[in-house]
Amino acid sequence: MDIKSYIESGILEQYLLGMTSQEESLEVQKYAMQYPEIQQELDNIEAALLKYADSYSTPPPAGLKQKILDQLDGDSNTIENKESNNNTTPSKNASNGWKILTILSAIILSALAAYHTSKTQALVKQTENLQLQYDTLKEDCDKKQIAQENINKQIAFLKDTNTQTVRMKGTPLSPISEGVVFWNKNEQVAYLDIASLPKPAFDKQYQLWAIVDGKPVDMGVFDLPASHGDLQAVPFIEKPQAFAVTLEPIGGVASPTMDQMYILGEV
Amino acid sequence: MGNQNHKNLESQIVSLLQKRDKQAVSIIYDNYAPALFGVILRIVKTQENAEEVLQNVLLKVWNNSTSYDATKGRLYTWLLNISRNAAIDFTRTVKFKSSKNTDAFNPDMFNDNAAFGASSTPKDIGLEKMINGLDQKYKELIDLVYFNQYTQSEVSQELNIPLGTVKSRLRKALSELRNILGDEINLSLFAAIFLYM
Repeated sequence: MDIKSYIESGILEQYLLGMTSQEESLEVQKYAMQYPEIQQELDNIEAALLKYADSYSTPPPAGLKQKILDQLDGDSNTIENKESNNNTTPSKNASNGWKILTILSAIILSALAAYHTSKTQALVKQTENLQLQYDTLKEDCDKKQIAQENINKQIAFLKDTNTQTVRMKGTPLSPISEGVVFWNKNEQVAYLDIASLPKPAFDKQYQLWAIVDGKPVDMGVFDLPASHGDLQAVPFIEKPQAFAVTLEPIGGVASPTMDQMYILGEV
Repeated sequence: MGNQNHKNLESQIVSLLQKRDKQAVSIIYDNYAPALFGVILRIVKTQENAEEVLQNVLLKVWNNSTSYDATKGRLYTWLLNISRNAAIDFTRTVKFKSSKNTDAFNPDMFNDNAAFGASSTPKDIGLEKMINGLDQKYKELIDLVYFNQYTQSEVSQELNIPLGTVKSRLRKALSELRNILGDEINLSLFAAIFLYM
């Protein structure tokens, strides 16, 4: 054991300042008993620290000493009382004991009751919060499930070899516009997919037409989908030759406004 | 006071405490109250708070006198540790927090006796001067650990020095303190020897 470097490490100072862990403290105490040099060093550091404390010396106010000694008296009186209780057990003290016990029980019981009330309230509140969260999640989950079922249906529909794809290209009015009609004769269903159409004015709506035997057949008005890929179901029409979309007043019209045709595609 | 003197006084107090003789508290008060009060005051800041803490400390000493172990250090150190801990505990109470003014803690205020008004009588001015001769960075370090009970990492953060340096600087600070005090300690030793002769 290198006593010198142990002393030099500063551990003794930390020990005396209460900065060491319990393990370190025990170690210091062990070495101090074993090695007089370490004990000597501890004594010297301790003396310096005590001097340091001395330098802050401030006389306490007069009268404090008596106040403290009086409190000790009160303390020792209670000790004496306890002793006399054990020996002679006066009935007065005993009934006092019961009184104190009763009061203590009352205090403890009411404290417990208060604790339980507040605890219960907290639990009720927590349950309400959880119920709310559960309802929100359930609703969310149901919505997602419906959406998922729709998507599955659409995928099955698109994969069906009987499904025909009719691409509608932009007319000179809006060359970049595009849309698709998916059309299945076996299932007798049709879907519309709008890839791009300009946003209509607030009093206008797009209307889908099928051309059958050279004549336009109304397939209903529609709003632009939130995003490309959202298929909208549209009426099934037998033997279409072409599909087209025109921009019309809200609610649609009986026959298409030809100069407002945006997209057109032949079957 | 010389070492021998201390030992006699302390063992007298310890044996009185063991006999549950209240005289013990009286002697403790007469010999250590100013130092304990000074340290407590430094932590809890007001005279009123310090009085309350010192009262609690002496009651604690009286009630837990058996927990003092003479092999682990001097009675004085034990008393100081109880006082420091009690004072620091007090600073965590609601009472202290509500009484505290918004001014930042200013250690310089404690170097000035006048700050405590007429109730304060002069301390050991010679000793105080010597301690004030200690390098400020060492004094600051000892104060943080001694009065604020900072841990090594807290000291490292507060003074912005590496964690590994805290230990060695603390050792340097205390050896510096011992150098400064060396003369004084020797002088009091001489005084004690002189008195015995």
